[in-house]
Amino acid sequence: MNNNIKLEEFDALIKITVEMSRYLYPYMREILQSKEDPEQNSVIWNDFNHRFIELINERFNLHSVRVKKLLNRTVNEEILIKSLLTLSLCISNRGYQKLKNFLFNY
Amino acid sequence: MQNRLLFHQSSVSLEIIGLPDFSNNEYEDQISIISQWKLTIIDKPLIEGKLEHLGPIMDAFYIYSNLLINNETPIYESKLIDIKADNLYIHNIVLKSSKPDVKPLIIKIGNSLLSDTINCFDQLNESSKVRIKKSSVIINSPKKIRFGVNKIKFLNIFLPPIIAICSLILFSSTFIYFYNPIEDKEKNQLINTK
Repeated sequence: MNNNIKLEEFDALIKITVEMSRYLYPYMREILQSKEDPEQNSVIWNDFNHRFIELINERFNLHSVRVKKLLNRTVNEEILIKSLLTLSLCISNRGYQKLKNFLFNY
Repeated sequence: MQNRLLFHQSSVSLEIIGLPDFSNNEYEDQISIISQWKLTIIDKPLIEGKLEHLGPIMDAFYIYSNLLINNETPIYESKLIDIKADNLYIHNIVLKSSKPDVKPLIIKIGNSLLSDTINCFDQLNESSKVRIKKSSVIINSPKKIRFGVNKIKFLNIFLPPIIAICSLILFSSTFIYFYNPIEDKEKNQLINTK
């Protein structure tokens, strides 16, 4: 099975991601904010992290070392925050180009 | 009467005050001569200044966010503004006044306010009603990063052959034979005497 993604598929995925980010910005913002003052809002972050781990368990290859990293709550925090921040910075009309640039520079 | 335009994102709003350039056939509701701007962040002191301050401040935010996302050291320093990360969630902004004897303004913002601010700047960049001169236009992928990418590409092209050449030199140096004509003469003399 060929796992390589085609350029058109990659572009389409970026467009969908940007549209979803625009729609979900208030939620992403809330999750980011919950980490800034964990004493007050730890419930939001814990719920998000819990659901994220649940989805990873359902859909990803759990034998992969990278996936194991995502499941580790102490390690995945930085990955999740940077991913949320990246998405929340790409909600403008030029979000598609911005997200593409971020991904190429990653 | 000056025009006012407001760009708003969650807890942050950016107000641009200025006039249209009628000599350039602009509409009455446009702004291309910016006289003042105000960045309002809820629960934080008001940030305002002249046009020449807006460009560097927007640049600082864009460059800093790029550094933050690209896993590079998130520090931006300039004459006007410094931005440093306190930790993964809080960012420390120091705004330095151009006037003497004015203490710098220190503001701490989280990731949520950082993204709100950058989204306000994005709205300003994309607005057809405000024209900012090219010299102060904001770049989304900063020169620093571009330079970094070019540097990496440059290294990717030239580093492997350089390493290969160096390793060949090192490896072959163990077998190197230096030709010494005096020693050779002595050897020949020994052979002749026999």
